[in-house]
Amino acid sequence: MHRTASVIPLLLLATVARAADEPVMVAGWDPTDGHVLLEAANCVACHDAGAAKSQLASKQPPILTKVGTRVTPQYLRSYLADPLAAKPGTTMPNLLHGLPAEERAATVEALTHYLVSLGGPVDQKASGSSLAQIDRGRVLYHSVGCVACHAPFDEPPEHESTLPKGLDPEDLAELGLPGTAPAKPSVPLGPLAKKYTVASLTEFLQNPLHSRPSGWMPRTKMTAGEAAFIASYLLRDQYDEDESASGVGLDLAIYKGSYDNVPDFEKLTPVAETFAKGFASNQAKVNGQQLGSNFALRFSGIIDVPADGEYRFWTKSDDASTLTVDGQVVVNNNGVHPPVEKTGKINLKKGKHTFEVGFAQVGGGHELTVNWQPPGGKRGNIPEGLLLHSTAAMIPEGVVDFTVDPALAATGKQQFTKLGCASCHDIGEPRYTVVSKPLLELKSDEPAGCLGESVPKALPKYFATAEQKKAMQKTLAALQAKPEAEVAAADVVRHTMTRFNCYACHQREKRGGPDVSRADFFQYEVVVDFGDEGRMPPAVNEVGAKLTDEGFAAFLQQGVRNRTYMATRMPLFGEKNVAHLPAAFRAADAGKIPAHAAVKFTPKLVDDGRTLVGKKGLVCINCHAWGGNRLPGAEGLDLLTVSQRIKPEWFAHLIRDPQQLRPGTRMPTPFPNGKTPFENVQGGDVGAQIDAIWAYLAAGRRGGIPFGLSPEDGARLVPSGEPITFRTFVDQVGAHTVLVGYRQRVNFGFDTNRVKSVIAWSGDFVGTRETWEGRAGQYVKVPDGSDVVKMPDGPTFAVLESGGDPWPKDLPKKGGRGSTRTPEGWEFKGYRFDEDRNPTFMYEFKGVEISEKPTAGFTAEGGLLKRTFELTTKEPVENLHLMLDVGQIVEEDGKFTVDDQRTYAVESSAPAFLRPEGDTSRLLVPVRFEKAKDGSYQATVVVDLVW
Amino acid sequence: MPARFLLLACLATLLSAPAALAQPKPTEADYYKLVTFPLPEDLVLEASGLEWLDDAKTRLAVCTRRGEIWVVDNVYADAPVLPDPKEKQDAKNVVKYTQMIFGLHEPLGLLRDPKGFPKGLYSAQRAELTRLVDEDGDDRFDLVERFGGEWEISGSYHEYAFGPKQGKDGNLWITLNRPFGGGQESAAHWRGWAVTIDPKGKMTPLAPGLRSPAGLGTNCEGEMFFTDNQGDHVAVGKLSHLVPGFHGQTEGLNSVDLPESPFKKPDTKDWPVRGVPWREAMEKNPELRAPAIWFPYPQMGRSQTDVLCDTTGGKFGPFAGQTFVGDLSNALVMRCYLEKVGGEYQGAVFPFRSGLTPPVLRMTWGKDGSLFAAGSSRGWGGGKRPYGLERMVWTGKTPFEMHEMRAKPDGFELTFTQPVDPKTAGDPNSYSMKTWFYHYHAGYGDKPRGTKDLAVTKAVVGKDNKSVRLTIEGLETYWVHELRADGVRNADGLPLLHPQAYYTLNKLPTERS
Repeated sequence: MHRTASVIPLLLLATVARAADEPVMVAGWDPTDGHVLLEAANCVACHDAGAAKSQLASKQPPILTKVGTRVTPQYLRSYLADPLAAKPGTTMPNLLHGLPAEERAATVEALTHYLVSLGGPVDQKASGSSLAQIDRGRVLYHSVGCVACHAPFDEPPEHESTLPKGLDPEDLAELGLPGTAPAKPSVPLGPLAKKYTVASLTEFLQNPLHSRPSGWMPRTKMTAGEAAFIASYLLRDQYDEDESASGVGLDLAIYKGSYDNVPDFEKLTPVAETFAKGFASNQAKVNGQQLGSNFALRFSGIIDVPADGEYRFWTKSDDASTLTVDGQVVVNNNGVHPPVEKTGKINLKKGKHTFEVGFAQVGGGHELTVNWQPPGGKRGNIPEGLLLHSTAAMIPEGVVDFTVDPALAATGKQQFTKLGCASCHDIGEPRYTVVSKPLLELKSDEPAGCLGESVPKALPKYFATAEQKKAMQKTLAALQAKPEAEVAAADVVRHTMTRFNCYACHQREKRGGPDVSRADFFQYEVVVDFGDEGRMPPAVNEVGAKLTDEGFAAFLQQGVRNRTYMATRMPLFGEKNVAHLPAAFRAADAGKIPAHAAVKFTPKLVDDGRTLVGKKGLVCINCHAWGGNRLPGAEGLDLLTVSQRIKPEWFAHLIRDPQQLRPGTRMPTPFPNGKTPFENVQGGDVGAQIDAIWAYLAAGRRGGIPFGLSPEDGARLVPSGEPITFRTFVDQVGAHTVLVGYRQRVNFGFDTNRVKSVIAWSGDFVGTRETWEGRAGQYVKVPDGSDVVKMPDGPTFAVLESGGDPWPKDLPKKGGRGSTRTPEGWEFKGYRFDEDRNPTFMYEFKGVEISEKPTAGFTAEGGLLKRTFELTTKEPVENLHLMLDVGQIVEEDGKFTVDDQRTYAVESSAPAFLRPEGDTSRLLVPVRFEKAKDGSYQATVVVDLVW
Repeated sequence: MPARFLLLACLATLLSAPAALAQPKPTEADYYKLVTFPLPEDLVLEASGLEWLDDAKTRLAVCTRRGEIWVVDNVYADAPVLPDPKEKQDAKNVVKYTQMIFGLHEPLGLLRDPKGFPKGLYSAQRAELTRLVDEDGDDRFDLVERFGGEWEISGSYHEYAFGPKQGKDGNLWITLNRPFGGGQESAAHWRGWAVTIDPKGKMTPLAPGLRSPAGLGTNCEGEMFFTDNQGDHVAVGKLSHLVPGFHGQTEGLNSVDLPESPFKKPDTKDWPVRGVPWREAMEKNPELRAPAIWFPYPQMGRSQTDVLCDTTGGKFGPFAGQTFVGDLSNALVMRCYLEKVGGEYQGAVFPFRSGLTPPVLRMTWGKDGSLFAAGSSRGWGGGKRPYGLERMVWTGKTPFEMHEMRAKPDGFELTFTQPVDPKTAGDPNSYSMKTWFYHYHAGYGDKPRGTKDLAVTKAVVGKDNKSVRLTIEGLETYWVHELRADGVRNADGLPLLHPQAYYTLNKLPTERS
């Protein structure tokens, strides 16, 4: 193994002392807010709130239904004996303080047996962790947002300060700049190393709302692996390197770079480290982004082989791979190549051996599979349980052998109810509540009872300071004075943000934002030059006027990470706990952003927006991604989600003057002094250009990728200026297709074998992967979601001697071989590009030279395909017709609408007409030749197709 | 090995090759150096055709498997670099790439202004022979004309069309791969054929029996040859004289009943008889054409490609008139000596230059007699890089090589590029020979069969000291003969740069000499 303990001195790290960590009951953002303290103490559990019910939420204490599976007996014992001593700052009161010492000890023991009996006792010897895991956890703990509420243990990382220099902290706080709020006390963690096992804490961290549904400890979205890393870190005092353990799965280190062979990993620094799931090469992900090419992977750990004997291994890889056991290369599959399989064998003794698979990828596709064949066995995957990484045991402090005594547990259960524990804690049974005086009848003018300076024996004793008790009394008095008061939306917002400590991250109206002791823990996920805006969560000053319902849902309910450059993750507080927030924000923020007239979107407006966003416009793509596609280093918000999350008026306001809504933002001012640099777009009108950008953003994927951005797979062709002419095999269209994609998101296909146009569609053009990658020659597909027009069977032109002649059909294949063809006499001649690189297709029929030039344009409603046919012949051909479509066709104002889906407008010297054919009709255009100056006969037909 | 024996072994080596001590063993690079063209990061030059845009051979057109044609300027730079506005660069070293067209369908050859044809750049796409014209001289093709090609495609990835090359008859020659399913249209005609197209665009099928004939070219006598790739019916890669008749792979037989087919199936039992040694196959199958040279796999490459005869008149070294063949998978160039025996071509292949940067799919001569080689490994591997362009320049030093290897009724006659040391060259023990045969069968490839050692009984050095007549017992017709001349030294005591040669002995000459 290649890990060394010396690089990780974290175990020796002392808690960084913080002035703010005074012994107070910690609740919400403001420990002096009586309202939040009343909720934190869950006063309403015993004191019915009556008419004030809607004003006072409760912090529901942990559900104890399965507490025995989570928490160790030794912790329960000490915590129950004196919660305030075991966990300073806790909101749980001491209920046993009035009992004589002996009785208290017996009660604690009984309660402990009862609580452990709820699913326990937990297996305290089953967990293991490595120093690397602990270190990963350290990084995560200090970056994903834990330390917004809890105490950090590290020194904060350094950032280039963007704060004004020379001001003292109070002045800075006065200015209301983010990161300058006064230090706040940390939510206590208590003696975690005694309380949890790695496994149980991991499970808790993945969704704290399971046992704590009120959302005061929110759920930070993380993978099971990340939860395990953080749990390992928080329980790092349990690390015992003398007790080894193994965890299932190999370590996986990910490296960037172009290597023809598996590199010497010892000389490289990985860009990410994680745990492997099998050997698939698509695990090369950094910050959730899949690496497409030029990377290397190192799967390393231990293989635990079941018997002595000869083991054969295979790797199949594109490109290089090696497989090493006990330092000996068993399979050497190095080199740049398509998927190639190599094999090798080695004699192994039963037991553990070091094991490593290296992989390197340069350009093109990638894959990796690893197989083995144990002695006497069959070839297959290496069983998951045999691939291990080495860890040390993680054993909770004060571990004891514990067996639940049923009699004691039964006593404990009675005590649990009698003492009042059950008033607050859910144990999955009907609750028995100790009923006390209703809240509105409590004395609030002088300290007494639970809030008194000395708490009577039978009442719960809280950790609250005298000041906090005073604040609670004050709030109590206010509630009693106006129990049914209508609370203003702004107060609802402020109160909710205080309760859930939203202010720890988000500033609103100069209140809150990262405090000075924590601000530097807000970090970049990937380093970008976005200043503090790139690492600190945004202010929410006018969020009610900014976000759509979808935006709020993404923000509050789904925890969507829009700011992927930011390490801190927006946690989830529980759907019902924050369900009231969007309405409150909306009401509180009404009128903060000027209204904006609705815009009528047209394809042209969308296209202009696309131009402005792209490389020849404002180049928004320099910083912003679009649908996950981005320029190197462009880590900004994804533009594709903007119109779903954000209201148009807020967007318009922002883009006119970003500094106004986002002081200090790195977003440039696109229209300095209200002027646009692009005078030829939308007549140079800034308002119209903003509408165009919005129209483009609102069009979503239908707007097309911004010009200048390559699609994520690097394979889609994006017509930007000139049309793209691309000949390839096209699925369900044919093997002889020349495709043309126009920037107007109109696309066209011509079959050189059937000598006719065969397809048109709107939307994205095709990709190159099928035609270019691997052995290639695969069929490209018209992208899903396109609006497709397929041209009817039969040739484009035919001679109809009489009105009843059937339209000719494509000829069948010759003797079962060969392709479907247009009837004899047709010849494809090729195509010619004009100055703008529009191709004109040329073909010949009955001595008539025909050119067909497709071009694209915009209409008010959609894409336009214009096909211009020019025919030249020495001898005029009588009764020649151009056939456009077959179906349910309605003629109106000289235009023909087919199947309610597409409309043709025809310019020709002889008018287009419909020929009935059974239930359908056929749209035909007679070709009328006219003699030209050079003696030839010519005709022109122009067809506009809109769909 | 104990140290004492090691020392003895070293001594023995010293004694046996005293001249080798004086100088390091020469390598291919001492005689032929490689100049690799840098490529812009976003230019994936999957080269599949090379042709000069001007008679002076200054502007090199490169078509790619991706369907582009690029023109490369400044191709004779000694140390080619990409333009870099930040650097002060020597203009003559700055290579420029200009895209002339995009979106062709897997063009696999380029030919400019063939005599008797309308002017333009001709290229075989999957479904047609295309003539491209840059009408206004802006380095972009304006006209993409379907010139001809009535062959068909079903839409299989393996339906490649290679060429064109102009034959002695003045027509353009094209070879067509057999398909491997997957197409959405039904099976196609003329796959597995060589066809020719006349100046009016009319196609005439020439011969069936081709499999994956990636290389096409004339020898210096103007005779068309093609290479084919190992696979079904093809034991190992081969070089064949492209004459009418059946070249062995059966796909093309699907079209022999069409009126246009010049080939009619012989009326013999079970034709073509397969699963037999090639000698027997030739006896039992009238019209079956044997290759002129087999390329033993993998010593002589794994996927043979372009055929290029040395028309440099000595500017490329001492091999004028010989035929070079490229190899994709091993990224190398081999050298072939062809002679006519019994009216048909056969001959020997020698290693020539390995270690090229791109896989070698196409080759052409520069104005100075340097060799431009380019290719793409896509799907088949090979090369240090998966694609690119390289120039091979003769350093002016003559390598010590076997020059020619001629069959004799009772052995072979070798000539050398330099005078030999008569003592070693005249010693039969300086030579060894192995021989083997392949089966003609429908299965994928074949291994050497019946391998045996032949005794070199006599080695007589010619009067000019540049030839040796070997007498060998037990030569076999239609077998491959591997000669190793490890013991031969030149006048300076140097061994051969490549001591091995592989002669495909279809026929034994009858005359004595």
